[in-house]
Amino acid sequence: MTERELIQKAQNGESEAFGELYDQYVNRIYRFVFIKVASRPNAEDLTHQIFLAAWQNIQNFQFQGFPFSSWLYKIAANTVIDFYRTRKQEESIEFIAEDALSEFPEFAKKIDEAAEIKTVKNALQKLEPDQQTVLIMKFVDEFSNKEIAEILGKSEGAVRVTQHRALKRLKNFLQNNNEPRLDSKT
Amino acid sequence: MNHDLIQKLNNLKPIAPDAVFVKKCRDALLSVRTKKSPVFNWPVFVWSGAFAVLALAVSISVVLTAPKQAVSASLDPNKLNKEFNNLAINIQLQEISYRQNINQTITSALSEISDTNTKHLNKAILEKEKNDLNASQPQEQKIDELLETVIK
Repeated sequence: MTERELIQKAQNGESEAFGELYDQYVNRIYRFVFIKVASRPNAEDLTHQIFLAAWQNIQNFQFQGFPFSSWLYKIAANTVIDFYRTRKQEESIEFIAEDALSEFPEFAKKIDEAAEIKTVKNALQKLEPDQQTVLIMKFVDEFSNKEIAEILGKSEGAVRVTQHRALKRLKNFLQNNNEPRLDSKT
Repeated sequence: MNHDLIQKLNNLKPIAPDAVFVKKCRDALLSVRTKKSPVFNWPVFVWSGAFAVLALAVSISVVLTAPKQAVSASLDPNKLNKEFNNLAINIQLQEISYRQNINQTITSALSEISDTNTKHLNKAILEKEKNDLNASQPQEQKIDELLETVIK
């Protein structure tokens, strides 16, 4: 069954059709959210919220040349924005790092790789929300600039500029992170 | 450097949710009904909204056009005078009719009171009832005696 047929069935209230859509996208949406919020419980809560919103509003989805995933990511991006808007306290980076490592049981043995993932993830956390979104969508989820522009409601040019600045900032953060700390020399 | 950076970002791809969470979340989602409702279905909602707006526009136009004639007609002095005169005559006629009815009622009441043939005031009937009461007196005396015995 094609994605279009699944969507149409889900729009007619067939929950199993929506279940198949969920199966197709849950990993990607969870990953997108997890990189941005950096804690597993929050990522799980938000992922649930995103799919619940999608299921309850699937009637509003219209086939306008963009895939279902764009619509889903748009909900995800807005949900994460709302999450940060309403959240009072920031989580500590240390907590984020530990939790991030727990997501990679297969890499846990490979300490170097896990540490690198931790470093990249922490560096991503320091970027602006839009910059994070663009980098994750572009290099983790492999969306085209056109799709990212549609999801974020920006022009493709603006997405390219955001991507360029985000990579530059990320590079700086990672370089600074790799520099030896002054107190370690003594 | 950008290539390395992109490679590092690509390394985030293996992130995946916990399988137990995925199943629980799926079950929870599918147990929730969608908002689809025959009343609030989008096309139905749009059409009913459009119909409501149309009905409102029609009623407003009727209200705005019709009262102008009615107001001008009701303010015409000749019509008002005629209406007023008719009103006074109607009131007088109703009053006469009422008084006639009252007089008839009073007259019939008086004649009934003075009429000895009327059943409830007929002396002969009253006398007969009195006799009937007297006829039952011996029995009542007996009852009184029995009651006194019981009391003692």
